[in-house]
Amino acid sequence: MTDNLTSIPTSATAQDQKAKEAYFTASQRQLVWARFKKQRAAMVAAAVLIVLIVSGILAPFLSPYDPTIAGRNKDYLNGAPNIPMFCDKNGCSLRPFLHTIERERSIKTNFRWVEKINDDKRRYVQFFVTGSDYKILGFIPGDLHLFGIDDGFVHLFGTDASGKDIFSRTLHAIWTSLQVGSIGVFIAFVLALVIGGVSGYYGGWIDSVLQMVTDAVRTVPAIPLFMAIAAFIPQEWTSEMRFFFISLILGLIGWPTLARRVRTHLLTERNQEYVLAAQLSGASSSHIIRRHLLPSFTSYIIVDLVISFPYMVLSETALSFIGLGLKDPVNSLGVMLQNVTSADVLMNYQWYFIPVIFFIVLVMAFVFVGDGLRDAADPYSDLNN
Amino acid sequence: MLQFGKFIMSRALLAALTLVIISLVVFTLMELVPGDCAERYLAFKNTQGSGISVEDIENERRRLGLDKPFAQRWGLWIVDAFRGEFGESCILRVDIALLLGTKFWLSLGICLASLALAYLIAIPVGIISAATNNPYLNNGLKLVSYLGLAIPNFLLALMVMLFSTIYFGDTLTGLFSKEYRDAAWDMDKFVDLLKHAWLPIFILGWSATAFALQTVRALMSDEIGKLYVTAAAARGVYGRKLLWRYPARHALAPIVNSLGFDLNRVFNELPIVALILTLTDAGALLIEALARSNDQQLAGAIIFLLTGSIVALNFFTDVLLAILDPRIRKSILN
Amino acid sequence: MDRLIEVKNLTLKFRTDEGLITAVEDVSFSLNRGEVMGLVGESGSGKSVTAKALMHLNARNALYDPESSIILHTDRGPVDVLSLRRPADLKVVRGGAISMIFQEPMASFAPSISIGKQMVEQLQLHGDLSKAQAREISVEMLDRVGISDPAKRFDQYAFELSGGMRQRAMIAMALSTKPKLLIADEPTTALDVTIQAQVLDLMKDLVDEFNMGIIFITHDLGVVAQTANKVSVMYLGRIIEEGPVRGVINTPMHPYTKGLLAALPRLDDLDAPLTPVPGDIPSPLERPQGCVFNTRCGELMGALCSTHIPSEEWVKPEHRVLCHHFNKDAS
Repeated sequence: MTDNLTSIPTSATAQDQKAKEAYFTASQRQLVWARFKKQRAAMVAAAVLIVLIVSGILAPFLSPYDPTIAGRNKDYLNGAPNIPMFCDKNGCSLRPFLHTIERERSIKTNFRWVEKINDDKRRYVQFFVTGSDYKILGFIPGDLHLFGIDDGFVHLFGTDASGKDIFSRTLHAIWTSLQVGSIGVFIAFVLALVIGGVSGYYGGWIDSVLQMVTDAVRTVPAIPLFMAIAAFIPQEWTSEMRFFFISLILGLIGWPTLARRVRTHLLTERNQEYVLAAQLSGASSSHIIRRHLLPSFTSYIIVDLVISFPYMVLSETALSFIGLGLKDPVNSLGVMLQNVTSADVLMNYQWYFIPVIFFIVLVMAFVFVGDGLRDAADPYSDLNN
Repeated sequence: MLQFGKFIMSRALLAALTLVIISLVVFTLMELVPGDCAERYLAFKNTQGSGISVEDIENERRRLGLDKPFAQRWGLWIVDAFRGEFGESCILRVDIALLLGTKFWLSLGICLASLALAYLIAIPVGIISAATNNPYLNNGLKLVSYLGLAIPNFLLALMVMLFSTIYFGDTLTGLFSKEYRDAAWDMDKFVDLLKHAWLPIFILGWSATAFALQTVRALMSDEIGKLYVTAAAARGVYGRKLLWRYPARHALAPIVNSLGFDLNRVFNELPIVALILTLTDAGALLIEALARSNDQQLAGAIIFLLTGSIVALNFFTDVLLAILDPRIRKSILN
Repeated sequence: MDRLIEVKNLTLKFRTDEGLITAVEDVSFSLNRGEVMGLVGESGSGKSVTAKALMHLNARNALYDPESSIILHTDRGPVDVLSLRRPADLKVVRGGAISMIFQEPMASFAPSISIGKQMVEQLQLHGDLSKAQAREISVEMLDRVGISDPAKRFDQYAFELSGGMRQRAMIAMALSTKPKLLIADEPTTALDVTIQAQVLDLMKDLVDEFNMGIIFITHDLGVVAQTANKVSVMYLGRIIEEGPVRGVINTPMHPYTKGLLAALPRLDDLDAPLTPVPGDIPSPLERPQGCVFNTRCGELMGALCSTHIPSEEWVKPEHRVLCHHFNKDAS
């Protein structure tokens, strides 16, 4: 005659007790992580993001060739991708290989490159080959590359108009875009913390004035402003200077949105009753800021940062695409897309678009992770689902 | 009525103040650019073959009034700007207002049209989807939203171009066909414009729709969960009336609020889409001037005009909201 | 027919991500016209869910046990509430024969629609009235509940009225369709004591005038004592005691009821310690086996309480209790 309408029987076993205690004493970070783990889409996106970031960092190792002019393949301009295969009419092999392509052009072919595949000559892909020198993260030297080929070149994504390997360039470009995005986000963040912080903490007329300024700056459309500034960058600047300048501008234009968020967080949290309760219990303001205010919105700030990342990457890509952002030899996804609009490319060299896929995946990964983090960090988000 | 008038005045003043601050920012940036107008003009003349000397530059400076102090020049600039006059462009010595004229209005028209399209789609779809619990519809819309956000407009434009080139062998570019490009404005030209403009409007509307859809759905979900909706259901209200009269009507207020921000976003996307679709070929768009000219008077004027449109839109939506939302209306009238 | 509503074996579960949660279990009660029933319990006891069930108003993920039945006796005959599915059919019950008023009057009026418009809408929904007629009735109703200058208030918005006036306006709106049963979900909780008293008086007058039945949901025993004829005490979805108000308060039977009454602060002895009911209400995912109260009961009868559900016992003609102490054949 037991009650068979219940769904989960009570049991006061030691295990359950421990689990409950763990839940109640978990730190905020552990709680957020536990909630984040439950969202499959966000976890997948996070994994993808990590893969992309690592590929970017290890780009010099993972790519077979130097992405700049120095590593180009003069004989294979605008070449189609070479996909290694395992078997052909002469049998199979454990090691992937490529056929040798002989190109010729003559009057007969209207001076277009025509490829003839010599399928008796095999070239085997080799792993861990020695190749061009590089420095990972700018200071770890090496010359080992993940893969290469015993004779000639292997271009997984094809080559561009000057023979540069698109695969290598894509990997390096991911890293560059990530770097520019990070610097931009960092600068915007610092500015936002200072301005938003002062605004939210002091309130009153300081807040009103700063708010007007923030709103005014926020109203200006970023990209036209950016275009205006970038158009005036002197030609003499080196590509490194350009790089830092572009990142700087991205940050300088991006701070208003973040600043507004910081200010809103501070204003609402400052007046919450738990702050009053802490004050009444005798806590000092530094204690309150450290143990109460900051933790309450650190997670939101992190979410804001992650969410603003894709916009930085998008802006930089857009600008480089028009030619106002980064330029060769500094290589970003936007730079790689520069040549894509000509009809020639559209009709004949569709592999130029492969970096586009990486770009979309990168942005979507950020968006999903950001959304997942936001849902995980907000303890009330369950109510909205 | 009087109080309402006062409210409008105060909002207008606020808008003007914002514009003044922005003009300061823009003007300062124009000043910071290496090489002032005089140098640029004469450098340009130099490339045309006439020689210049330092004295020529000085003379030109004085003629343009560039030797006056910063504050004074800014003051003059802002006063003229409010009248719609922006002086002459540095290099071509053409009246900027004339130069920009139709280009500005065309750009604005396209952007506003794409926003209208976005909301025309997003509002009904968003409202209905928030009301039903159909999982397919929900997931489908989520996917559309994400795609809209992740594929930036210029990529979409690229893909459209790629597609049309491969399959139609023709590229859909330009805002006007050749015959109408320099013709005077009349009904036929307008129709021609419409025939070409649908593509940029569609592409710009793409991510605007994704954004709007997300916003509408989120707002609706919030409102539907509120007590007054349950209370209305408890009174016997049901069906479409329960949906549109109660949560929908209240969810729309924040949307009106966000229109200015939306326009900002569309302005951000316009330059690149315009570039890809070679709308600038026809010399019809504003942005070409910005990207190619290297001329800070022109650049400053354009930025000011764009921002001014957004500020103006914000002003209109503020007033509109005050009319629509009784809470604001009543607080004004008291 | 004096009988207004009959609830039998109402069992209601909600489908959630964490599993099936039982909100109401085997609840039965009935109400006559002119009778005021207090429904008392902590938050989480299932009071609001029960009330909403009477109008079939619970969320879509609510699962009603097939044995549950709610019969409403209207002028046109009995209505099986749980069998009505389409909102158009439920109109009879919702806002027509049964009206509900809520805890937050500000939140139950739509913010941007005038009070008058909402009242007229309801009237026109439940009858063939023209706009002018509906307006007249509404203004009359507003006057009846004691709102000054009712014609002006008719065109105003919820945020323009004070708290007490809003509550009265909500009552006016609920009663304008002359319902047979009024469900009041914690209507005085958000009000201060003086306004509370006025609203309670008003409700008592209206009961007499309209011969309505009222189900008054609250956690405040004092309010129940003032207004109700009979009281049902709920805990974790079950009615554990029900009886005439004086009877239950003077001679509580169930340990929980005793605990609730003992927990009330005593104004005549300010030094007496507060004696709350020990423990916390269990999470809905962890319903106790056996008697629902056994985890906090101070009068346990051994293992019986945690293994067997007690059966209902009518201790006095109108007073029933759900406790093993009163089960005559308890082993």
